[in-house]
Amino acid sequence: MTDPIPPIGDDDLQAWVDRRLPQDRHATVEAYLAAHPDVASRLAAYVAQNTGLSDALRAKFEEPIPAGLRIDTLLARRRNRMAGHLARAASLLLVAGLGAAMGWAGHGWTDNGSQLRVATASAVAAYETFTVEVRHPVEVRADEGAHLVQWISNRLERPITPPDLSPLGWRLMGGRVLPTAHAPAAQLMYDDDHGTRLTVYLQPMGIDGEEFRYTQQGDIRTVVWAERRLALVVTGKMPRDAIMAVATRVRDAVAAGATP
Amino acid sequence: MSRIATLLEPQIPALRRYAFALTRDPTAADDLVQDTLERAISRWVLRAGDAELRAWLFAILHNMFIDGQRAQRRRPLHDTLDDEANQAGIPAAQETALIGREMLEQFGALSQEHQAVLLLVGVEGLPYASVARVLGVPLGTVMSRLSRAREQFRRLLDGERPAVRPDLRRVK
Repeated sequence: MTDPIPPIGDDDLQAWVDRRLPQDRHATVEAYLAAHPDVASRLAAYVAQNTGLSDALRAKFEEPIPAGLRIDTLLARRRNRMAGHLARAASLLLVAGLGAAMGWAGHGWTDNGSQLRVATASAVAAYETFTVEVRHPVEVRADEGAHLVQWISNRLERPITPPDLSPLGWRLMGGRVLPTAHAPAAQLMYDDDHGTRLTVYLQPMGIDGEEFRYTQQGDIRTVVWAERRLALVVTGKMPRDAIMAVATRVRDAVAAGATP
Repeated sequence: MSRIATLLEPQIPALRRYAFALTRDPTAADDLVQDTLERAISRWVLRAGDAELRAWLFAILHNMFIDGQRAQRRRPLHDTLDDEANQAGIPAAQETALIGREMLEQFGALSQEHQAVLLLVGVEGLPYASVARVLGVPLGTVMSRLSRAREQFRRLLDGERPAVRPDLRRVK
Protein backbone atom coordinates (compact mmCIF):
# COMPACT_ATOMS: atom_id res chain seq x y z
CA MET A 1 0.00 0.00 0.00
CA THR A 2 1.37 3.43 -0.98
CA ASP A 3 1.16 6.60 1.05
CA PRO A 4 -1.95 8.60 0.23
CA ILE A 5 -1.15 11.50 -2.10
CA PRO A 6 -2.21 14.91 -0.74
CA PRO A 7 -5.00 16.42 -2.83
CA ILE A 8 -4.28 19.16 -5.34
CA GLY A 9 -4.28 22.59 -3.77
CA ASP A 10 -4.42 26.06 -5.22
CA ASP A 11 -0.88 26.59 -3.91
CA ASP A 12 0.23 23.66 -6.09
CA LEU A 13 -1.26 25.36 -9.12
CA GLN A 14 0.34 28.73 -8.38
CA ALA A 15 3.67 27.05 -7.79
CA TRP A 16 3.31 25.19 -11.09
CA VAL A 17 2.86 28.55 -12.87
CA ASP A 18 6.04 29.89 -11.25
CA ARG A 19 8.02 26.64 -11.71
CA ARG A 20 8.38 26.43 -7.97
CA LEU A 21 6.56 23.14 -7.61
CA PRO A 22 8.46 20.58 -5.48
CA GLN A 23 9.67 17.66 -7.59
CA ASP A 24 7.43 15.15 -5.81
CA ARG A 25 4.29 17.09 -6.73
CA HIS A 26 5.01 17.34 -10.43
CA ALA A 27 3.43 14.11 -11.59
CA THR A 28 0.31 14.71 -9.50
CA VAL A 29 -0.25 18.22 -10.85
CA GLU A 30 0.47 17.24 -14.46
CA ALA A 31 -2.03 14.41 -14.21
CA TYR A 32 -4.62 16.77 -12.76
CA LEU A 33 -4.10 19.33 -15.54
CA ALA A 34 -4.36 16.66 -18.20
CA ALA A 35 -7.73 15.72 -16.78
CA HIS A 36 -8.90 19.34 -16.37
CA PRO A 37 -8.20 21.31 -19.56
CA ASP A 38 -10.08 24.40 -18.30
CA VAL A 39 -7.74 24.66 -15.35
CA ALA A 40 -4.79 24.01 -17.63
CA SER A 41 -5.78 26.87 -19.90
CA ARG A 42 -6.26 29.18 -16.91
CA LEU A 43 -2.77 28.34 -15.72
CA ALA A 44 -1.42 28.90 -19.22
CA ALA A 45 -2.94 32.37 -19.08
CA TYR A 46 -1.17 32.94 -15.76
CA VAL A 47 2.14 31.92 -17.29
CA ALA A 48 1.44 34.36 -20.13
CA GLN A 49 0.89 37.09 -17.52
CA ASN A 50 4.33 36.48 -16.08
CA THR A 51 6.07 36.59 -19.45
CA GLY A 52 3.90 39.43 -20.76
CA LEU A 53 4.62 41.65 -17.77
CA SER A 54 8.31 40.80 -17.87
CA ASP A 55 8.42 41.66 -21.57
CA ALA A 56 6.57 44.93 -21.06
CA LEU A 57 9.07 45.93 -18.37
CA ARG A 58 12.20 44.58 -20.04
CA ALA A 59 13.19 47.95 -21.54
CA LYS A 60 13.18 49.46 -18.05
CA PHE A 61 15.30 46.63 -16.70
CA GLU A 62 17.84 46.96 -19.47
CA GLU A 63 18.09 50.74 -19.31
CA PRO A 64 21.50 52.07 -18.20
CA ILE A 65 21.48 53.15 -14.55
CA PRO A 66 21.29 56.95 -14.15
CA ALA A 67 24.53 58.39 -12.76
CA GLY A 68 22.60 59.80 -9.80
CA LEU A 69 21.82 56.28 -8.63
CA ARG A 70 25.44 55.11 -8.56
CA ILE A 71 26.22 53.99 -5.04
CA ASP A 72 29.46 55.96 -4.91
CA THR A 73 27.50 59.09 -5.84
CA LEU A 74 25.02 58.44 -3.06
CA LEU A 75 27.81 57.72 -0.59
CA ALA A 76 29.57 60.98 -1.42
CA ARG A 77 26.34 62.96 -1.05
CA ARG A 78 25.71 61.26 2.28
CA ARG A 79 29.22 62.10 3.51
CA ASN A 80 28.64 65.76 2.69
CA ARG A 81 25.31 65.77 4.49
CA MET A 82 26.83 64.08 7.53
CA ALA A 83 29.64 66.63 7.67
CA GLY A 84 27.02 69.39 7.66
CA HIS A 85 25.02 67.70 10.40
CA LEU A 86 28.12 67.19 12.51
CA ALA A 87 29.19 70.80 12.17
CA ARG A 88 25.72 72.00 13.14
CA ALA A 89 25.53 69.54 16.02
CA ALA A 90 28.95 70.64 17.26
CA SER A 91 28.01 74.30 17.22
CA LEU A 92 24.75 73.56 19.02
CA LEU A 93 26.65 71.57 21.61
CA LEU A 94 29.02 74.46 22.10
CA VAL A 95 26.18 76.91 22.62
CA ALA A 96 24.18 74.52 24.79
CA GLY A 97 27.26 73.55 26.77
CA LEU A 98 28.23 77.11 27.49
CA GLY A 99 24.69 78.07 28.34
CA ALA A 100 24.40 75.18 30.75
CA ALA A 101 27.88 75.77 32.17
CA MET A 102 26.89 79.29 32.99
CA GLY A 103 24.17 78.00 35.22
CA TRP A 104 21.33 79.89 33.65
CA ALA A 105 18.92 77.05 33.43
CA GLY A 106 17.03 78.03 36.57
CA HIS A 107 16.71 81.72 35.87
CA GLY A 108 13.33 81.44 34.23
CA TRP A 109 14.26 83.69 31.37
CA THR A 110 11.81 84.29 28.59
CA ASP A 111 12.43 83.81 24.88
CA ASN A 112 14.42 87.01 24.99
CA GLY A 113 16.41 85.34 27.73
CA SER A 114 17.27 82.38 25.56
CA GLN A 115 18.30 84.70 22.75
CA LEU A 116 20.55 86.57 25.12
CA ARG A 117 21.95 83.25 26.31
CA VAL A 118 22.81 82.30 22.76
CA ALA A 119 24.44 85.70 22.21
CA THR A 120 26.44 85.32 25.41
CA ALA A 121 27.59 81.84 24.54
CA SER A 122 28.72 83.07 21.14
CA ALA A 123 30.45 86.06 22.72
CA VAL A 124 32.31 83.85 25.20
CA ALA A 125 33.33 81.44 22.46
CA ALA A 126 34.65 84.34 20.38
CA TYR A 127 36.37 85.81 23.44
CA GLU A 128 38.13 82.55 24.21
CA THR A 129 39.12 82.08 20.59
CA PHE A 130 40.57 85.48 19.84
CA THR A 131 41.84 87.12 23.04
CA VAL A 132 44.58 84.49 23.34
CA GLU A 133 45.87 85.37 19.86
CA VAL A 134 49.23 87.09 19.98
CA ARG A 135 49.68 87.98 16.32
CA HIS A 136 46.07 88.26 15.08
CA PRO A 137 43.76 89.17 17.97
CA VAL A 138 41.76 91.41 15.64
CA GLU A 139 41.19 91.33 11.93
CA VAL A 140 41.09 95.09 11.42
CA ARG A 141 43.21 97.18 13.75
CA ALA A 142 41.97 100.30 15.50
CA ASP A 143 44.44 102.47 13.61
CA GLU A 144 42.38 101.75 10.49
CA GLY A 145 39.49 103.36 12.35
CA ALA A 146 37.37 104.47 9.41
CA HIS A 147 37.73 101.13 7.67
CA LEU A 148 36.81 99.23 10.84
CA VAL A 149 33.68 101.33 11.39
CA GLN A 150 32.59 100.99 7.77
CA TRP A 151 33.18 97.25 7.59
CA ILE A 152 31.31 96.40 10.76
CA SER A 153 28.51 98.86 10.02
CA ASN A 154 28.05 97.36 6.56
CA ARG A 155 27.95 93.78 7.74
CA LEU A 156 25.64 94.46 10.69
CA GLU A 157 23.54 96.76 8.51
CA ARG A 158 23.49 99.61 11.01
CA PRO A 159 25.94 102.33 12.05
CA ILE A 160 28.39 100.95 14.59
CA THR A 161 30.90 103.22 16.30
CA PRO A 162 33.23 101.57 18.81
CA PRO A 163 32.62 103.17 22.22
CA ASP A 164 35.49 105.10 23.76
CA LEU A 165 36.52 103.27 26.94
CA SER A 166 39.77 105.19 27.48
CA PRO A 167 38.49 106.97 30.64
CA LEU A 168 38.38 103.46 32.18
CA GLY A 169 41.87 102.63 30.96
CA TRP A 170 40.85 100.45 27.95
CA ARG A 171 42.23 101.05 24.47
CA LEU A 172 40.46 99.84 21.34
CA MET A 173 42.63 97.23 19.59
CA GLY A 174 40.31 96.60 16.66
CA GLY A 175 37.60 94.21 15.67
CA ARG A 176 36.25 91.53 13.40
CA VAL A 177 33.03 90.25 11.88
CA LEU A 178 31.86 86.80 13.04
CA PRO A 179 29.36 84.33 11.63
CA THR A 180 26.26 83.31 13.56
CA ALA A 181 23.33 81.11 12.62
CA HIS A 182 21.31 84.21 11.70
CA ALA A 183 23.21 87.36 10.76
CA PRO A 184 26.84 88.44 11.06
CA ALA A 185 27.92 89.61 14.50
CA ALA A 186 30.92 91.73 15.45
CA GLN A 187 33.58 91.57 18.14
CA LEU A 188 35.44 94.65 19.32
CA MET A 189 38.54 94.06 21.43
CA TYR A 190 40.13 96.37 24.00
CA ASP A 191 43.23 96.02 26.17
CA ASP A 192 44.82 97.85 29.07
CA ASP A 193 48.38 98.62 30.13
CA HIS A 194 48.79 95.16 31.66
CA GLY A 195 47.81 93.42 28.44
CA THR A 196 44.44 92.34 29.84
CA ARG A 197 41.84 92.06 27.11
CA LEU A 198 38.08 92.44 27.02
CA THR A 199 35.59 92.20 24.22
CA VAL A 200 32.35 93.92 23.30
CA TYR A 201 30.24 91.55 21.21
CA LEU A 202 27.39 92.88 19.08
CA GLN A 203 24.76 90.64 17.58
CA PRO A 204 21.71 91.89 15.66
CA MET A 205 18.57 90.31 17.11
CA GLY A 206 14.87 90.96 17.11
CA ILE A 207 14.85 92.08 20.75
CA ASP A 208 15.55 95.19 22.77
CA GLY A 209 14.81 96.70 26.15
CA GLU A 210 16.61 93.97 28.08
CA GLU A 211 18.41 95.05 31.24
CA PHE A 212 21.91 94.01 32.31
CA ARG A 213 22.38 90.37 33.13
CA TYR A 214 25.59 89.44 34.79
CA THR A 215 27.09 86.01 34.87
CA GLN A 216 30.33 84.33 35.73
CA GLN A 217 31.91 81.10 34.60
CA GLY A 218 35.30 80.35 36.10
CA ASP A 219 37.24 83.58 35.73
CA ILE A 220 35.24 84.81 32.74
CA ARG A 221 32.60 87.42 33.52
CA THR A 222 29.96 88.63 31.14
CA VAL A 223 27.32 91.32 31.10
CA VAL A 224 24.64 91.03 28.44
CA TRP A 225 21.76 93.32 27.53
CA ALA A 226 19.79 94.30 24.47
CA GLU A 227 18.69 97.56 22.96
CA ARG A 228 17.87 98.84 19.49
CA ARG A 229 17.50 95.26 18.23
CA LEU A 230 21.06 94.53 19.17
CA ALA A 231 22.33 92.15 21.82
CA LEU A 232 25.50 93.45 23.49
CA VAL A 233 27.85 91.29 25.52
CA VAL A 234 30.86 92.55 27.44
CA THR A 235 33.24 89.73 28.25
CA GLY A 236 36.43 89.78 30.27
CA LYS A 237 38.50 88.35 33.08
CA MET A 238 38.17 91.09 35.66
CA PRO A 239 36.32 91.86 38.88
CA ARG A 240 32.59 92.32 38.71
CA ASP A 241 32.79 96.05 39.46
CA ALA A 242 35.21 96.62 36.61
CA ILE A 243 33.14 94.78 34.00
CA MET A 244 29.94 96.47 35.19
CA ALA A 245 31.67 99.83 34.75
CA VAL A 246 32.61 98.93 31.18
CA ALA A 247 29.08 97.71 30.41
CA THR A 248 27.60 100.90 31.83
CA ARG A 249 29.86 103.05 29.73
CA VAL A 250 29.07 101.08 26.57
CA ARG A 251 25.36 101.34 27.30
CA ASP A 252 25.66 105.10 27.88
CA ALA A 253 27.49 105.47 24.60
CA VAL A 254 24.64 103.71 22.82
CA ALA A 255 22.10 105.87 24.60
CA ALA A 256 24.06 108.97 23.57
CA GLY A 257 23.60 107.93 19.96
CA ALA A 258 27.10 106.74 19.25
CA THR A 259 26.10 103.21 18.32
CA PRO A 260 26.82 101.48 20.44
CA MET B 1 34.33 50.48 -5.95
CA SER B 2 33.32 50.04 -2.33
CA ARG B 3 31.97 46.70 -1.08
CA ILE B 4 28.57 48.23 -0.46
CA ALA B 5 28.48 49.38 -4.10
CA THR B 6 29.51 45.94 -5.32
CA LEU B 7 26.55 44.42 -3.52
CA LEU B 8 23.96 47.12 -4.16
CA GLU B 9 24.52 48.13 -7.76
CA PRO B 10 23.60 44.77 -9.33
CA GLN B 11 20.18 45.14 -7.66
CA ILE B 12 19.44 48.56 -9.13
CA PRO B 13 17.95 47.47 -12.51
CA ALA B 14 15.38 45.24 -10.79
CA LEU B 15 14.56 47.92 -8.22
CA ARG B 16 14.01 50.44 -11.02
CA ARG B 17 11.78 47.98 -12.85
CA TYR B 18 9.66 47.32 -9.77
CA ALA B 19 9.44 51.03 -8.92
CA PHE B 20 8.47 51.89 -12.48
CA ALA B 21 5.82 49.16 -12.62
CA LEU B 22 4.28 50.48 -9.38
CA THR B 23 4.40 54.17 -10.26
CA ARG B 24 4.41 54.05 -14.09
CA ASP B 25 6.23 57.37 -13.87
CA PRO B 26 9.97 57.20 -14.71
CA THR B 27 10.93 60.21 -12.59
CA ALA B 28 8.92 59.18 -9.56
CA ALA B 29 10.31 55.66 -9.95
CA ASP B 30 13.93 56.78 -9.88
CA ASP B 31 13.23 59.08 -6.94
CA LEU B 32 11.81 56.07 -5.15
CA VAL B 33 14.86 53.97 -6.00
CA GLN B 34 17.18 56.73 -4.82
CA ASP B 35 15.32 57.03 -1.51
CA THR B 36 15.50 53.25 -1.19
CA LEU B 37 19.24 53.11 -1.79
CA GLU B 38 19.88 55.98 0.60
CA ARG B 39 17.91 54.27 3.31
CA ALA B 40 19.65 50.98 2.60
CA ILE B 41 23.03 52.67 2.95
CA SER B 42 22.05 54.33 6.21
CA ARG B 43 20.80 51.02 7.61
CA TRP B 44 23.46 48.87 6.03
CA VAL B 45 24.65 47.40 9.31
CA LEU B 46 21.09 46.32 10.13
CA ARG B 47 20.56 44.15 7.04
CA ALA B 48 19.80 40.49 7.61
CA GLY B 49 22.64 39.16 5.47
CA ASP B 50 23.80 39.23 1.89
CA ALA B 51 21.60 36.27 0.94
CA GLU B 52 18.50 38.20 1.94
CA LEU B 53 19.72 41.46 0.41
CA ARG B 54 17.28 41.39 -2.48
CA ALA B 55 14.17 40.89 -0.35
CA TRP B 56 15.44 43.48 2.12
CA LEU B 57 15.82 46.10 -0.63
CA PHE B 58 12.43 45.34 -2.14
CA ALA B 59 10.87 45.61 1.30
CA ILE B 60 12.41 49.05 1.81
CA LEU B 61 11.24 50.19 -1.60
CA HIS B 62 7.78 48.76 -1.13
CA ASN B 63 7.32 50.45 2.25
CA MET B 64 8.52 53.78 0.91
CA PHE B 65 6.10 53.48 -1.98
CA ILE B 66 3.20 52.78 0.38
CA ASP B 67 4.20 55.68 2.63
CA GLY B 68 4.44 57.93 -0.41
CA GLN B 69 1.01 56.80 -1.61
CA ARG B 70 -0.48 57.75 1.73
CA ALA B 71 1.01 61.21 1.45
CA GLN B 72 -0.07 61.50 -2.18
CA ARG B 73 -3.70 60.74 -1.42
CA ARG B 74 -4.04 64.24 -0.05
CA ARG B 75 -3.03 65.69 -3.41
CA PRO B 76 -5.22 65.84 -6.51
CA LEU B 77 -5.15 62.72 -8.64
CA HIS B 78 -3.63 62.73 -12.08
CA ASP B 79 -3.36 60.22 -14.84
CA THR B 80 -0.34 58.05 -14.13
CA LEU B 81 -0.36 56.63 -17.64
CA ASP B 82 0.97 59.69 -19.42
CA ASP B 83 2.88 59.39 -22.66
CA GLU B 84 6.31 59.56 -21.13
CA ALA B 85 5.51 56.77 -18.72
CA ASN B 86 4.33 54.56 -21.51
CA GLN B 87 7.33 55.27 -23.71
CA ALA B 88 9.75 54.19 -21.05
CA GLY B 89 8.15 50.81 -20.54
CA ILE B 90 7.81 49.82 -24.17
CA PRO B 91 10.14 47.40 -25.91
CA ALA B 92 11.47 48.42 -29.29
CA ALA B 93 9.48 46.16 -31.58
CA GLN B 94 6.19 47.76 -32.57
CA GLU B 95 3.88 44.83 -32.00
CA THR B 96 5.47 43.88 -28.73
CA ALA B 97 5.25 47.55 -27.79
CA LEU B 98 1.53 47.58 -28.35
CA ILE B 99 0.98 44.45 -26.33
CA GLY B 100 3.23 45.78 -23.58
CA ARG B 101 1.28 49.02 -23.47
CA GLU B 102 -2.07 47.22 -23.31
CA MET B 103 -0.69 44.91 -20.68
CA LEU B 104 0.55 47.73 -18.47
CA GLU B 105 -2.69 49.66 -18.87
CA GLN B 106 -4.73 46.70 -17.75
CA PHE B 107 -2.24 45.98 -15.04
CA GLY B 108 -2.67 49.52 -13.73
CA ALA B 109 -6.36 48.83 -13.19
CA LEU B 110 -5.56 46.16 -10.60
CA SER B 111 -5.46 47.00 -6.92
CA GLN B 112 -2.08 47.93 -5.57
CA GLU B 113 -1.86 44.76 -3.48
CA HIS B 114 -2.50 42.65 -6.55
CA GLN B 115 0.02 44.57 -8.63
CA ALA B 116 2.72 44.14 -6.01
CA VAL B 117 2.31 40.40 -5.63
CA LEU B 118 2.19 39.81 -9.39
CA LEU B 119 5.37 41.82 -9.90
CA LEU B 120 7.34 40.32 -7.04
CA VAL B 121 6.43 36.74 -7.95
CA GLY B 122 6.03 36.87 -11.72
CA VAL B 123 8.55 39.50 -12.80
CA GLU B 124 11.12 39.68 -10.02
CA GLY B 125 10.95 35.95 -9.37
CA LEU B 126 11.25 36.24 -5.60
CA PRO B 127 10.51 33.07 -3.60
CA TYR B 128 7.08 33.16 -1.94
CA ALA B 129 8.64 33.39 1.52
CA SER B 130 10.62 36.47 0.44
CA VAL B 131 7.48 38.05 -1.01
CA ALA B 132 5.82 37.50 2.36
CA ARG B 133 8.69 39.37 4.02
CA VAL B 134 8.58 42.20 1.49
CA LEU B 135 4.85 42.70 1.90
CA GLY B 136 4.88 42.03 5.63
CA VAL B 137 2.13 39.40 5.43
CA PRO B 138 2.03 35.64 6.20
CA LEU B 139 2.94 33.16 3.48
CA GLY B 140 -0.67 31.94 3.24
CA THR B 141 -1.81 35.48 2.50
CA VAL B 142 0.74 35.75 -0.29
CA MET B 143 -0.56 32.57 -1.90
CA SER B 144 -4.23 33.53 -1.71
CA ARG B 145 -3.52 37.07 -2.84
CA LEU B 146 -1.48 35.75 -5.74
CA SER B 147 -4.30 33.48 -6.78
CA ARG B 148 -6.88 36.26 -6.69
CA ALA B 149 -4.57 38.72 -8.45
CA ARG B 150 -3.92 36.32 -11.32
CA GLU B 151 -7.58 35.61 -11.80
CA GLN B 152 -8.44 39.30 -11.64
CA PHE B 153 -5.77 40.16 -14.18
CA ARG B 154 -6.85 37.34 -16.45
CA ARG B 155 -10.42 38.63 -16.47
CA LEU B 156 -9.27 42.15 -17.23
CA LEU B 157 -7.12 41.02 -20.14
CA ASP B 158 -9.71 38.55 -21.29
CA GLY B 159 -12.79 40.69 -21.12
CA GLU B 160 -11.51 43.97 -22.43
CA ARG B 161 -8.69 43.18 -24.81
CA PRO B 162 -9.54 39.85 -26.46
CA ALA B 163 -8.23 41.00 -29.85
CA VAL B 164 -4.81 41.78 -28.49
CA ARG B 165 -4.28 38.65 -26.43
CA PRO B 166 -6.27 35.88 -28.08
CA ASP B 167 -4.19 33.32 -26.23
CA LEU B 168 -5.65 34.61 -22.98
CA ARG B 169 -9.25 34.07 -24.02
CA ARG B 170 -11.20 31.90 -21.69
CA VAL B 171 -11.57 28.36 -23.00
CA LYS B 172 -14.72 26.59 -21.92
